[in-house]
Formats: sequence, C-alpha cells, structure tokens
Amino acid sequence: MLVLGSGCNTIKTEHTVHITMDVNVKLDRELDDFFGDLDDMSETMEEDLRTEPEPESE
Amino acid sequence: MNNKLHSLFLLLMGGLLLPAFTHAQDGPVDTKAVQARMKERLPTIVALKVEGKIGEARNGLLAIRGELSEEKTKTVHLENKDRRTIYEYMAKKFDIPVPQVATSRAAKIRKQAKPGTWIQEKGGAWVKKTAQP
Repeated sequence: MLVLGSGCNTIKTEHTVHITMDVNVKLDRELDDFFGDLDDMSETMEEDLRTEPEPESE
Repeated sequence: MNNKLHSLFLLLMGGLLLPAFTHAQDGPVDTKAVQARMKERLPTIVALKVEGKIGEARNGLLAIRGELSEEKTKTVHLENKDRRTIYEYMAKKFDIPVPQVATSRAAKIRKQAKPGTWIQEKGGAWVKKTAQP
C-alpha cells in the first residue's frame, strides 16, 4: 500500500513539473513574440548611442 | 410592500449590471496598440538608459536612478503602465501570477542588457552591467 502510494506521488509530481515547464516555455515564447521587435530595435539604438563619437572640442 | 419590491428590483438589477461594468473596465487588451506606444517612446527610454538615469528593476519595470524632467518622468511612468498591462494580460492568459510574468521578463532584460546599463539583481542590489567575459 505504501509502495503504491509513493508511486502515485511520483506520477503527480512529474505531471506537475511537466505542466509548469510547459507554461514557462509558452510564457517565454509569448514574451519573445511581444517584446522581440522592441528588444531588437532597442539594441540597435543603444549601440548607435554608445558608439556615437564625442563632440569635438575647439 | 411596493417599496420592498422596488428595493429588491434595484438590488437585482445592480447585481446584474455591476459585473458587466466591471468587465467593461477590464476590457480586452489591444496588444498592438501597446506595442506601438512602446515603439514610439523607445528612443527616449533607450537614451535615458544609456545616460544612466533609469535602470531595469527586478520586477520587470523601469526605475528612475537620476534627475529627470517632468516630461521624461511621465514617459517612464507610461512605459511602466504599458509593461504592467502586458504582464497582467499574459498572467491572465496562462492563469499564473503577474509577478511570475514580470520576473521572467526581468530575467530576460538582465541577460540582454548592454554593459553600462543599470540593472537590479535578483537579490535586490543595483549594479551597472559589466561586459561578459
């Protein structure tokens, strides 16, 4: 009985882990879908700003 | 008796109408419109990050780290409002808590941040991102 009980617990835990991983993967994908373009634009803008030459002093 | 019936009627109508109004306030999220607003203010946000006046907090929102004009402060607040809208929208979609979405986004922001950007670490400490070895 005890053995059967621990087996059920293992299955339940594995099932929960799978669902959690699935949600995390889907969430990351959804976040990338929404912010992907913005992140790319941001990267380009930031690189341009950081590599802009210092104004020449006279 | 009539008064009692009248009150009961009003109570029932209120009960029926209130959820409808509450739902109308929530409304569907126009993610394209949110995205368009974010794109529009992106140059300002990026410039403020490069200047070190704002940083990326561990809750997935922007935090003010220096002196900002009233207009720029407003821009940062509007950006955070839109970010919150998206985090809430995704939390609802996946039936998970909003902070889970926000922290997941914050982790990605920290990873992508360019050296010199103010970022808040998971533990709460603020650091300027250093170049990866």
